[in-house]
Amino acid sequence: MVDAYIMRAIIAIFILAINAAIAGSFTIFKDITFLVAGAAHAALAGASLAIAISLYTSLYIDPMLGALIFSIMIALMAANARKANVAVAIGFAASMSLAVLFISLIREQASRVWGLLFGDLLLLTLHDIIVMAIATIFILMLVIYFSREFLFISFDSEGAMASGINVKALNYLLLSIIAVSTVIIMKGVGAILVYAMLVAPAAASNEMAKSIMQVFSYAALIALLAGFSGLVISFYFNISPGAIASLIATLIYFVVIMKRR
Amino acid sequence: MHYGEDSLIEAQNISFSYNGNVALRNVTFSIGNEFMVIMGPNGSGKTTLVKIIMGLLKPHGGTIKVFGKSPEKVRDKIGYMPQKENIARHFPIRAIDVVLMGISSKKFIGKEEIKKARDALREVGLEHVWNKPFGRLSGGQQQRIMFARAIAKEPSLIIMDEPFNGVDLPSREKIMNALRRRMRAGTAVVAVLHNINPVLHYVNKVLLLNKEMIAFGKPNEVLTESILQKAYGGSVSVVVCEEGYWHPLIGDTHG
Repeated sequence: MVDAYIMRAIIAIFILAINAAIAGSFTIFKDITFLVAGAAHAALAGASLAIAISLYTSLYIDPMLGALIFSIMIALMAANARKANVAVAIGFAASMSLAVLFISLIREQASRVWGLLFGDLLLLTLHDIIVMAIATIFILMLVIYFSREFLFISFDSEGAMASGINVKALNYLLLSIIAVSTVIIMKGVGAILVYAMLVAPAAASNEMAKSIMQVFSYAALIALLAGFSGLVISFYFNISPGAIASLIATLIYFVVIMKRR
Repeated sequence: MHYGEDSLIEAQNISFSYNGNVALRNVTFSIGNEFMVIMGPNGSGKTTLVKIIMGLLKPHGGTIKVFGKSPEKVRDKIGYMPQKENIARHFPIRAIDVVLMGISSKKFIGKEEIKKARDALREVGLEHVWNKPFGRLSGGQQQRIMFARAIAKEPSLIIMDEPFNGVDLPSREKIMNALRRRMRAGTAVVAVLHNINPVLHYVNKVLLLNKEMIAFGKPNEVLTESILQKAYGGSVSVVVCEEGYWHPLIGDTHG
């Protein structure tokens, strides 16, 4: 019988793979991979603000809700800016300043934020898994429904506009989806490693694939391979599964680009 | 429906500015089922005018009607080929998927749409690459696919922004042949071009811009040395070919 926490980690890896395949691929298509790093750090600021508010007022705000709101805010900023990566960079800096400020206000509870910074696949609760799964199903449905539009606006936004697609609204939606995926994966691997897990599988896959469907499926497979290898290795050597998974995902990317040369 | 002398596009005193910088001023023209080329130096407002014709930008002054209506209401009648610089090539979208974008805003693609996309690819001689990633094709092939996308939905008006930039001769010929077939079938064409010479013999109207309308009319009325000098700010030689068309010697230094 597999322990419950291992079972939860296994489910989390599948959730992670779906997000890496969908949101990861679209960060590559939209050429906005930096948003993942920005959204992850904005999430830290949001979570620490939520903890601070809960600590100092009678109001309780779930840190994950704070994380989601802040990461979506940075995504909306990026979608609205003429130079998205610059907006993300500034948002990143502002978020980190806020995170440091809020963490200094919640000293005794700061470890909860550190948990988000590093994450742990083996410490996920059933509640975490349910929230991650529901959010992922929601994302999956949205992306399937808008897949043609999302591809069109990534390929040629002017052409998409000319054919009557509401490019602005869909751009907000797509970048927000990427931000939500970032927060979902962050729960499992932390803010620092989320970039590797969300971007590297899709980036490697994009180099190999000959069609969009292949990008999605190879990215999912790479994320699964990295996730399970991380889990197995961590089990035998007692090291962080997220770190190993991220290392394997980034290693696969480097091998793929070396081979392509 | 046939649009006569001047009822397909009717523009009256159009003006547009970006953050206070005038991009277009007092542009007035009208065309029917014709081939119109928009010419002018870099930054003369050509792309801005195209965007206004398609309803992507709203003019700050004046009025524009396309097919007798406001442009954003007739988008399904327009096939658009954007400048190639604005297209992403870094992910493996297949040629046929690019063409399918032009056909239908429907959620799911059926056999009929796929047939139309394949027909459009055949028209530019690229049916055999339908399955290939767009970004791995040659520059000329990519432009032929973008042209196939513009014609796939059988538009009544084709709008092209610098369609021949970086395009090899055989590809240009394939696009031109397909374009001429469409024109014979009654499709109107508006093209932004730095170099009008490859298409000059088929052009009905030329609109010469330099932030304002310098001239509009039949090619031989517009492409004179004095008018071109006014638009380009330097002397432009014109050569008359055997068929009697006036070819301005510009374009080679651009795009």
